[in-house]
Amino acid sequence: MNNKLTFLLIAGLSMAGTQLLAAGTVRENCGCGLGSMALGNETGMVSHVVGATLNGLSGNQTFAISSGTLNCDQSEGFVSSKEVEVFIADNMDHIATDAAVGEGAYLSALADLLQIENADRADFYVSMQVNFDKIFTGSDVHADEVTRSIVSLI
Amino acid sequence: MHVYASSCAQLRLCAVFFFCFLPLKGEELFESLWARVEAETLWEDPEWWTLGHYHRTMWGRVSSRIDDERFFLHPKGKHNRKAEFQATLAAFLDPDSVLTDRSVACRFPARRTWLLTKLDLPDSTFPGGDCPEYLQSIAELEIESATLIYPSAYLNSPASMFGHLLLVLDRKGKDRLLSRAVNYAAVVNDRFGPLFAIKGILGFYDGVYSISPYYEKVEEYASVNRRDIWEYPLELNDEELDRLLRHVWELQYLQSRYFFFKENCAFNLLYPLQVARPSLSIVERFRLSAVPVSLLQQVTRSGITAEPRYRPSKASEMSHLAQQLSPQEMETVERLVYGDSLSGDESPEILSLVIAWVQYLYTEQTISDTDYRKRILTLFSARSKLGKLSLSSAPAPSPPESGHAPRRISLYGGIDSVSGASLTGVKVRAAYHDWLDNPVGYSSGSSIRMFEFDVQGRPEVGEMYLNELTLMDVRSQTPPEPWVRPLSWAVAFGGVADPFRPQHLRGYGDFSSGLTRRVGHRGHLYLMLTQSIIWDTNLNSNLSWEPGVEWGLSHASDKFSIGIRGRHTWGVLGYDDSRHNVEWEGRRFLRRNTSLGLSAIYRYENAEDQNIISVNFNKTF
Repeated sequence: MNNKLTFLLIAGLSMAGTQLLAAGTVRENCGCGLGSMALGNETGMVSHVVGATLNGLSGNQTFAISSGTLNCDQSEGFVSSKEVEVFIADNMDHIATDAAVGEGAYLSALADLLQIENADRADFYVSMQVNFDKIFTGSDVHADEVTRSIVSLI
Repeated sequence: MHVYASSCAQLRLCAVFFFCFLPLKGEELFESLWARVEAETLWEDPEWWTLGHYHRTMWGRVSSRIDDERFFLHPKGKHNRKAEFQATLAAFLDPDSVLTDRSVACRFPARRTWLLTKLDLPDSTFPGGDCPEYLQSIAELEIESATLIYPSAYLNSPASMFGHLLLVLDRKGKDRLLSRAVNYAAVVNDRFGPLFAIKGILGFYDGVYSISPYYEKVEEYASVNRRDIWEYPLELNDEELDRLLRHVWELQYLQSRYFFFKENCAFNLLYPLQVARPSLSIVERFRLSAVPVSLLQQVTRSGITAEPRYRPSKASEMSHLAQQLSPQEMETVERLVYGDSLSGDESPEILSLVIAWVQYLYTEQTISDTDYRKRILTLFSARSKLGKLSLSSAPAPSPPESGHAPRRISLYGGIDSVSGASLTGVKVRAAYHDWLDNPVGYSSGSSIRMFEFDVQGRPEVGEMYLNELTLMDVRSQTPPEPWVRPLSWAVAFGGVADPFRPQHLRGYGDFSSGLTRRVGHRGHLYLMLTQSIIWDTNLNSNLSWEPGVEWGLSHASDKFSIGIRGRHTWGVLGYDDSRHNVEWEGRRFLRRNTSLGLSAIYRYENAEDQNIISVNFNKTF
């Protein structure tokens, strides 16, 4: 067998080996603005085999409402309940995605939290889309400001 | 998949009993109630077994599957269901006798209502009343129903075919995203794959129940891991829902050893279901292993669930969008994703796909935070000016419970056309889905076989031998999408009989990687580089290294499947000849779980060849 083929085969072996042994990587990130989505981590093949149902633990053990994943400062004396702020901060990217399109599960959950009547929902969704630039004012916009802008729309 | 280190506080609180401190009135009441319990041997009531997670072990002993001593009121409660019953009754009658930081009513709200109902007692019998924290939480969250969640397999990860199950508590007037998700998971601190695997299988990890907002789970499964999610509303009446919530409450702080194949995420969620509806009696149906998908099949068949709702993953939505765009439009999309600026006349469909693609690159960590934020905002803003999208959302595939069961038994008979010898055999597989199994309900391109035994006999010569023992054969053959070109790979370990001296068994480990292409709508074509490491006592050095190639072409529909594949290796170390293996097989699916097949296998090694033609009958269960 010639050297080139041997090289290819060894490369193949090492690829499978990498798959087998690759360890996970997790990037820490704060949940206050755009880009707070959870990130993927590369796990090795064997981890996949067991990991799919072994399932690493995430989430805090509480029955109560607040999620506690928030790393950012909360504004004091804000009119809406804490759950709205937490939801917006935890889901900024998804809310922005839905707002840009004018529909979606995250907008409907937001409308539930803001207790918007069914009859007014269509208007709320349109208003989120039309006022997108006023709500998401810049790439560094903070969840707090977004919450305030959304509440001022209703 | 996410793995988080946990520093769970290990509160080891031991229940202490002072029966002598029971006030006289309480003591009398206890005696009279206990007499009733003894007369009816209530500790053998199946509902008590479910509440205490008791089961009969392989050795005939009865013990609880929960390892955490906080789950028991009697020091020997794990193994003694009667003593635990007695201690529970005593504790409810005299709550002050139990010295823990949480009241007995708050530790065991489900046991409390069950005892009251079973013994037909008024609520006031147990001093101190119901658990106020429980009542307050339920009132605050306004939980009105529960839903079983099944995230299906994700691309390029055959193991995820095993699936996962979690429970979601839905709130009145709130979108399901705002529901509370109850998840049973292992606390894992290891990063090294093989260690993770071994410890997981042997039960070295602690499993704990955790409760988090469901939107976090949706993000984890649908956005990051690109798994479609199936949601099965549970049809429970008010009392059933109350029992379910009470039992979840009892479990929320506990730990148990986590066993990958049996006492896993899905299995442990069966308990709240069975506490809610005792007639379900589903827990004991899983004696050896509890693969989430077969568990889902059992639960849906029991009639406790309503029609499922499909929540497509980001990847499924992207594929659906991409299918509606022309090749020119796809080119525009790709240019915009990789840096072109917007011209202003892009359609909403194009922008939607570009947005999803850029978000995909971000979750894959291909682009940085700052880059992502800047680009995504421009795209969002442009998209917001274009109104609604006219396209439908991604259509639902066949749901996972409609798929075949994972265990399989096969009978086959055939003839070796070179030697003229007839052969017959039985194959038994513990799990899960091979390349030509019925594809309904399964993700295409992945296959996984675990613990498959193939016992073969040659009637004319009166020989019987182990033909094959597959410990594990995992293949990931995912065709590319415009945004991802996954590497195909396969890993297999096991033992196989020498085809020409079948009483002789040799061990092998195969590793392959390569590429897969889609052929037509349901076909796959793959080509991989491979190498075998073979342990064979007939070789001079017992061990050989044999690299080569592997290829295959297959097509599977809900009626039949057909495929041809080959494996060709050349000995480099420890073996001087080549080995060639080409097999063709066609299967007709008679029903969901039965199929009839015809196969032809050609083998060549050491200047000998073999040609086996056989028919097979397969039944999954």
